[in-house]
Amino acid sequence: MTPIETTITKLRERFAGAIGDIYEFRGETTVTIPRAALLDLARFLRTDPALRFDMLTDVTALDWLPREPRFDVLYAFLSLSHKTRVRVRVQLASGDLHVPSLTAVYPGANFYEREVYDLFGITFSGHPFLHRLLSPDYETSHPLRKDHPLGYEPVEFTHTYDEIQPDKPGAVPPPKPRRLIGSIGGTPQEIPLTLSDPATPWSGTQAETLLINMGPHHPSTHGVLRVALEVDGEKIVNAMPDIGYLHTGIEKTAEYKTYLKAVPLFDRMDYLGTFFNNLAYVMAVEKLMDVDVPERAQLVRVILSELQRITSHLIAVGSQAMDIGAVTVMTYAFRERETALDIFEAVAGARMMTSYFRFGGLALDLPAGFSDSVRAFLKMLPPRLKEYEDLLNKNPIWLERTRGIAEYTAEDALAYSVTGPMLRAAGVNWDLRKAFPYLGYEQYDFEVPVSTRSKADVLECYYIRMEEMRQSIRIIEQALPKLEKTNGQPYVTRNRKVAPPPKAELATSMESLIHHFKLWTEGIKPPVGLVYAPIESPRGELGFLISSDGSRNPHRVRVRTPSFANLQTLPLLSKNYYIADLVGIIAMTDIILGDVDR
Amino acid sequence: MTLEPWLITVIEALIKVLVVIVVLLTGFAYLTLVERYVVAKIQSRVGPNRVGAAGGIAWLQPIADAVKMIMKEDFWPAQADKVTYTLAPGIAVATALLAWAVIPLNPAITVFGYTINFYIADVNVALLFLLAVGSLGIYGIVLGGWGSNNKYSMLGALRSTAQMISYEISLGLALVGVLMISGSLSLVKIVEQQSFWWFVFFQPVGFVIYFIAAVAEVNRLPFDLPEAETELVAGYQTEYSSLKFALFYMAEYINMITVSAIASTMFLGGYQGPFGILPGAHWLILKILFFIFVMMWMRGTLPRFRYDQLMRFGWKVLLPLALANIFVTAVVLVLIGK
Repeated sequence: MTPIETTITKLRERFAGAIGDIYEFRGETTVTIPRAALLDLARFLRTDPALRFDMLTDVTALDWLPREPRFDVLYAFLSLSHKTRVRVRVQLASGDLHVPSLTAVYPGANFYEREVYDLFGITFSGHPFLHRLLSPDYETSHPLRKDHPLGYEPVEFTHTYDEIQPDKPGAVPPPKPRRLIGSIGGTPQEIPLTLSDPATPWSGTQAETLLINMGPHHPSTHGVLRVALEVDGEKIVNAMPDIGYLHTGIEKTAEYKTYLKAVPLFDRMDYLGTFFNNLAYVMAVEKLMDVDVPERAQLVRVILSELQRITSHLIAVGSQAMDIGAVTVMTYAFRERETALDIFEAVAGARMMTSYFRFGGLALDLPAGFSDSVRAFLKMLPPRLKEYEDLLNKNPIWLERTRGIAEYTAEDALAYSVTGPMLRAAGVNWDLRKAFPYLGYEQYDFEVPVSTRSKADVLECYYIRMEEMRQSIRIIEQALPKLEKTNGQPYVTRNRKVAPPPKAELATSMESLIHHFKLWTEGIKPPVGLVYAPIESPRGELGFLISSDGSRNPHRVRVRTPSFANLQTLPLLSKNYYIADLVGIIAMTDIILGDVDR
Repeated sequence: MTLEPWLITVIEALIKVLVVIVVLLTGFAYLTLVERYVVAKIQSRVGPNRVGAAGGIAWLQPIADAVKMIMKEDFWPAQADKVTYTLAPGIAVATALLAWAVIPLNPAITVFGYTINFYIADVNVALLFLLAVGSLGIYGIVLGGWGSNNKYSMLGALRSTAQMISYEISLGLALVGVLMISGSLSLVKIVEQQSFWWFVFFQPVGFVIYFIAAVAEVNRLPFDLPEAETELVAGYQTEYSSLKFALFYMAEYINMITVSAIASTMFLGGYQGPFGILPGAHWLILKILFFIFVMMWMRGTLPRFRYDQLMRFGWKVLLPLALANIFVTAVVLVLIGK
């Protein structure tokens, strides 16, 4: 019996009356249960020794307006020991939008539930701090609902304000925020912006702590992250990440684009891992449409992603060193990264916003001299990595600043849905390239660096990232000879429902002309279904959940980004360390705010 | 026309003061350029290459920087304490400059029968004066941090206070060894005693302790906690702009020159050079530049300490070492019967 069959059987035994329909599509299982059984089911999934779903990877919702029950709340559970995923669906009717919160079972549900509350207006009873996460707190509607109009967001500074103002649906100027997320006495709460506010909570007997707004403009928050930092002297009492400053509604926008036109949107999320964003999205669509990908395209995807894993880790390591004061490592890392960006530019025409992968393959074939430049990069890199290690690994100040800072255990990491190098630094051997091989990763000989210490810390994460760069070099070195053998072979699928025919065919084939016309006017039309495609991005599990209603626009594109989950560990990791450590801890989580806020 | 002797003294002092200030301020301006080149080379970057670049060196960059600084808006935080906020940069620069009153630059020379001493004042307690003035420099930072009404500035000022107190002790104690050997507090006498054997050969430990404490004293990496830009944005100078900001920078660089000058004077024989090929002041300048280069090199190589680690290092490593150094020096001096 496969693990998923065991899971279903066990669930049927335990929750005989409650299990609703079980939906299987492209090898993914979605179990529908009533709201009342959710908490018990989550507890059962997590604790049952035969199941061991250690991680809640995602919580999201679908809005099926005008259907009733209107909302599906989806919970994605992952079992690391059995390498199984199961999705649980709770249906909610529009008048009655609340579900029990899973934060007591999976602490990592915290941000996800706040996000669903914010964007869909679904309440999670029992949530410790249910406030808006991405949109500002004066927002009254819920943007990801289908009846929320797209466009005409109030942009106060545009010079055409008067022109567009009358056209806005029910436009009112946004009120100024009066309260902000903060922390008093270690508990997160909303605090007023001015001391004259009558509800000022820290009059009199409160503990004498200082609240610092670290960000949204701060040199070390790696983007527009605001950390509501409560300190006692220099010691951190609580560090609440407050996000949403970079929220651009990419998921909402994608619902109004055809599948193909949504590709460049996702470049803008994790701007250090653009190939990964493209890859996960096209893989999800390919899974939805069941498209074959030619070998050459797969090899190119592997090589480019691994190259980008290196560049992303270079920035992670470099900026971490910079935050701790060793600026030189950062400039060295950027020097190496430039070489790789030159390769990306030659391949995709852009250094960062690559948008290079297409459904069933690539946008265009590789340029001449590609393998030579990749080889040169691979040859240059190892001695340079050695150089960084010479600067850092034996430096007593560096060791003192990183060893034992932000210690967390594997249990913490799993409970908070942490993935990627941070999870491996805690000693959990989990890499999606090994666990659920995609793109033919099973053919490559490489190791997943895992920490052998009982607790992860900043230094351990640094070691893991350095080693991962070396492993990526190994993978690319194995892929390059294979790639050279496929020279001249097709780089995109021959499936004409997905990829356009070659230009030459249009002149001779009526059918090709029709395909071309349909693809460029209407776009692709996948079948109805719900698929999830996860990949191992430099930061962890990056997955696209695509819900298709059979039309040419996606019904919902949900991005499970690694930074989002990794960031919410910040209060846990930084407690009782110093302000100076916090910047190192933020650098360790290696968040990209575009990836967090989307 | 003959001048009264007291008038000559006053004019001489004024000229010297003027020369020292002009040299220091120019030195500060060009040190920023040197620092940018040195750090750029270490970090494999190009460095400034636009303003008045000739032969790959942007000679006019400091002037452009100065003009830029003057043209910037002079920003006042809404609830800043006007008096302290304005006073702070001035105190920082004034104390940094004051130290130069007692540092001898060159052996005395005689022109037209008139002896010119290359120091502004030969104070008999010059060393104590140096330490005292150095300690006053903290007021610039503390008042700046306090007056800005900014939490980052405040934290920077607090860090700075703690740091200065802990390192000043080691700094002073490291110099005590030299005093015991020289038997004088006058810098002129101390330099004159080092005509052959520099004190660094008698006081190697004291020298190392002094240099480390001095780097901490001038807030340079790895001890630049008061301004730690990745943590505290810019620490005590967060709210400063325009000339006030420039003054803080000026103070920092002049302090760098000062502590290097003290290190050269106390340990490396000041203006005394080997073989006497170059005039004395050249030797002093070379030695000062060497120390400054080492500080820049450290900035390019080392990460930053954390606040508590810094304190631990100061109190638990440097201070006991400095005390042990004094003890050993005393024992040796007694044994050789000096």
